[in-house]
Amino acid sequence: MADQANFEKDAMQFAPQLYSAALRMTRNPADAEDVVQETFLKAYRGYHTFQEGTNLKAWLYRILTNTYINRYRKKTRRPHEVELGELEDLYLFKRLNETGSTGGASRSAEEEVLERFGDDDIKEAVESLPEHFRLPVLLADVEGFSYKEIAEILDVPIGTVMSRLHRGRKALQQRLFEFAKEHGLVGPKE
Amino acid sequence: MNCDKVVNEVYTFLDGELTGVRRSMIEYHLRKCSPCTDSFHFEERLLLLVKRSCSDGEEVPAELFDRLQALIRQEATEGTSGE
Repeated sequence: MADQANFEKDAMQFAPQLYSAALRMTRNPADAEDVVQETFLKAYRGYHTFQEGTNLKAWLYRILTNTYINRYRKKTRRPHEVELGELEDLYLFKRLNETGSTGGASRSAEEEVLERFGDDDIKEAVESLPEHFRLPVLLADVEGFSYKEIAEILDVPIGTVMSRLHRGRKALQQRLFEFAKEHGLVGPKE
Repeated sequence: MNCDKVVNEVYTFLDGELTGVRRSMIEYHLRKCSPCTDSFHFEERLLLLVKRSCSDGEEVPAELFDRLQALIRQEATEGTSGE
């Protein structure tokens, strides 16, 4: 059992990470602040239920995720819940390879294209993902949680985490390829 | 293990979720197969890029930090009479 008196000392260090995750979830600073505030309040109130020695970061993310879902799922009525169909493995790698924009001869040609994306392109692509993909992608790729931790945070089976995470990453690649075309990072094969 | 099967495991492999024999089988395949190695590198690079792009630069607004602290302290003084 954790002591509420230690909450500030234990939990405040995660505020920057939680805020950053909240920004990716809500896509705007005002909502992100609200979500983080509510998360900390709930976490403080429930801190006596936290088992000391277990993963505090994961515990806080679970509260953050639930707070976000409860607040915004009602409001947004899942406008993005479009099925993408099955995307093939290595989606972006293959597309870049086909367009051969860098000549194709160099082994790292595809990787060079990656370097041309700006941080904002990537952020925008992540934020554009439908929620059921965005959350696993954020938790795994940005926060570095294991599949098991994500399953606990999102309260879904590990198989669901894997399927959403892997499909989410492919969907992200699809968005990035769209960006690459729009911004002229790739061109038709010369 | 053929290339399709190996590529199928790219994420479990890179996420460190694959252990034991299956991991060794993939490592063995990657040593011999440069197309698979290239694609694994690409995926790894992309994952790192996502992490980097989404985790830096966002400072918690100082006033949010203060507000969180105030909220908790207020809750601490008020909450003692509850539960």
